[in-house]
Amino acid sequence: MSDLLRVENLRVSFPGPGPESGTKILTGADLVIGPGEAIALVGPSGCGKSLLTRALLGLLPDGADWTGTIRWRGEQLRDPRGRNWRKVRGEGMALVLQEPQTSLNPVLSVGDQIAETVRVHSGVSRSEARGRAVSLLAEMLVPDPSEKADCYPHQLSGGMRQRVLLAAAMACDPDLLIADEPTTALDVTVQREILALINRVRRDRGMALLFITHDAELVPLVATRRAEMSGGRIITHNHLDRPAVLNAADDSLSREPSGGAFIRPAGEKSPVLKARGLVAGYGPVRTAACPRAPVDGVDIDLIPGRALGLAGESGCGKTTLARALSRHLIPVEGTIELEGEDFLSFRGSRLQARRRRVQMLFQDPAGSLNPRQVVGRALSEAVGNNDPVRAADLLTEVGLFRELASRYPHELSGGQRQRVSLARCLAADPGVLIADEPTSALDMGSRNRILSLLMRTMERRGLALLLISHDFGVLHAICDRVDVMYGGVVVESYRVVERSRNRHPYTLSMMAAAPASLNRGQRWWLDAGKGLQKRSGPSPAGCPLAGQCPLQKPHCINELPPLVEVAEGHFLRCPEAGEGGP
Amino acid sequence: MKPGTSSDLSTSGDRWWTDPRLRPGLVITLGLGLLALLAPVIAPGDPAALGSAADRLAAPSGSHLLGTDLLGRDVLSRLVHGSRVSLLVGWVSVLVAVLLGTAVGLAAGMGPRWVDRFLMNTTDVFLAFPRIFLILLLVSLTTPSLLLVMTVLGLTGWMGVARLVRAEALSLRERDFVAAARGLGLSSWRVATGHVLPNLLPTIIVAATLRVGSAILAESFLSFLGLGAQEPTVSWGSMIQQGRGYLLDGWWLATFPGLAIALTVLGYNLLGEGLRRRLDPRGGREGRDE
Ligand code: SF4
Repeated sequence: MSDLLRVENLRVSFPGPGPESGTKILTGADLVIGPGEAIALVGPSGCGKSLLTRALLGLLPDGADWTGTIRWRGEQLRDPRGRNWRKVRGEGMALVLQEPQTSLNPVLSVGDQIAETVRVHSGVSRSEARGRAVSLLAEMLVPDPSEKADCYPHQLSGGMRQRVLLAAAMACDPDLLIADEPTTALDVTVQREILALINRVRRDRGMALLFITHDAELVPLVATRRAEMSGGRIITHNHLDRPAVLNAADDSLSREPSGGAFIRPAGEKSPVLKARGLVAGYGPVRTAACPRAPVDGVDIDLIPGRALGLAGESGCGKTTLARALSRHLIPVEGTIELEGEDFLSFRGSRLQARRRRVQMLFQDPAGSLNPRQVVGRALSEAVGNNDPVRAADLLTEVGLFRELASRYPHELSGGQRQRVSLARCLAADPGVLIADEPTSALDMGSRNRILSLLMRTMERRGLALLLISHDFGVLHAICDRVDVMYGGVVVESYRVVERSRNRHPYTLSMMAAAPASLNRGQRWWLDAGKGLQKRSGPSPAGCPLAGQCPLQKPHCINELPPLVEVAEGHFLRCPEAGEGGP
Repeated sequence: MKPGTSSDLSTSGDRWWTDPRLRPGLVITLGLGLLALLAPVIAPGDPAALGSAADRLAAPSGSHLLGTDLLGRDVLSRLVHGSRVSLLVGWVSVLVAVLLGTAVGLAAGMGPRWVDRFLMNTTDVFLAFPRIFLILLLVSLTTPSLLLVMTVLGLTGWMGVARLVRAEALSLRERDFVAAARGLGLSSWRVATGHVLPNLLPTIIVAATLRVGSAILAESFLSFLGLGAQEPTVSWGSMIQQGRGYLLDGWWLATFPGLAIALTVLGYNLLGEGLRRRLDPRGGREGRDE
């Protein structure tokens, strides 16, 4: 037999009491993977993809019933705790999960964690294992691998943590890598790097890959075959051509806003929320080692009925800014004016009443709802007078059935939870809604529906919306103006209608990750082969991009350029932008 | 169960009942609870009834299944009645400890930083005292009584719960749903009791169950020293104390209460451990073999 893994008629269900009782999740899944083959398994969230991986590894949760055959190299695996299956788990298959943060032990250095895996599998000495760990990190293109090995997970970025997980997975030299949504939590640019890395490692090692994703657009980037999962079965097997060049696909939402469908006349209303010179961060900011705060001098105006986009990759300070604007984090410096009053001066019951005007929609709808509170209770508590009728109206407003009021959050899908979170925000009758990557934890389908719901809600209620995202397609479709943030400062602010070729180098490099959001005039950046290259660490005083900017001039290292209005309504923090183009 | 189902994975059906720790734990603790509740019905005789001279220090036999003590009292009856004291002391003192510990832990975890610092320093001070000396000191300064034992055990046992609750509350308060509740203008009290406390319940229940066993052990120890239950109240600890001089001539006097204590502690530890694996999300790691 030449198959590496053959699954036939796999059925998984949850009998007995409990929330999932009686549900059949997998109803006869078949899957064959040959040695060295790369298969992508696509399906919406909640279709049972993750359960399939757990079944393959023999790690189904307690209380799951399963039937069917799973063969590894022709040998049937029967007992999940038996020797055979354990051996397959240890040496045959390796798993990489979506959330690198929770898959790593926060109290061990990453090098130790990889070395531990190495030792378990090959029984080599401590120092040898350590050496192997460093070389694995190097294989995953981690810069300065021996220094990085001493870092703890929280000291690394999301992309680095994912590389560490890959290195740990490679420690046992597996024949099959199962990657369960490995890039979902990452930024576009990082996502592409990780996909490229997975491709390369698979080729070099002749390893098979089962790549699980909800994002059909990633499939051609990594897989030679595609399987689709729906209704508990795996329904199609398409042979694709050889992996396409890495090229992020168009987002259905990103179109040229030429008709100006979402553009309202400018400048008729005064802002509900006005922030000036905000400096914020956790713990002490502006220390000697790190003179720039996570948010360092940001001005924001939020206007009723308008959406302001805030773009930037993780770590640029956008979430810190969101928390400061909603007063979940008290800014170190600066002022916030809410409806003409000083928001930061409120205390006690006055604060409790006034802060309801600024609501925040969080990225992860699973974490933003109290797991022990039914939806109806959460909403009526949010309304303030425990009025069940009002709670039901709110559910209708966000497009949910009233019956959902009696459900617990874990009984809802990701999209439904995000709608409930939105309803809870609306219960407070806010003037400002801050949505921090509200769709990045959702699959493509619910993503677009939630975005259009957000837009409709904003228009109907005249809300001022601050939409935080790293996806320019989304931002351009919904917002009137986009602020691009990097290293704690706003590096560019532009109106979406204005499609100048004159962009900040950082904006261009972010847009280049999703080329559809570049207009014709801006494509010179791609054609010229420009891009950010890390040459040295960031300079503490200068432009945050200095050290990796292709347009860099000597003065960039020492002084932060001011944000200047280069055209009407277009602010840029880079004197060199536009140079070097055609 | 369907044919072909793997027997290892399908611990389904009544999942609580088939758990290898929960089932014996439940059997023992529920059985003991019934025994204590129905002691007058179950016990073959009056625990205080003195026997005739011939009946004194009689070995286990048909008429006295577990034998009699120095005064001719039936050991089985005394054992059954003694369970009441052990369970009462165990539960009440744990209840006191858990209520106090939860209040302190929640206040420290959710309150402003100075409250946290003050409460945790206080907790550390309490922890620095060796518990058993504290108990001995308090008990020996006053007339021994059960009520005193329960209060003292409770007042010296809350520190662990407080630390546990505080740690959990500190991590819960960073969660988005707590931020959302604050954003809705709920008072700190409402956030702490309505959003954080319900999510702490599994932790608290597990901590309480695991502590019942040690509280029962502590009560027996105090009674053994004569500082706990006083005659005519029967307690396992005092039974052992009375039998300690007759380990050879009357081995049944100390052996059976000793076994009863061991079984009770085992039962509560199994129950607590089983509950922890069921309720505590971090406990559900069975089935992986690292
Ligand atoms: S200021 Fe200098 S370093 Fe910064 S973006 Fe412009 S050219 Fe690049």
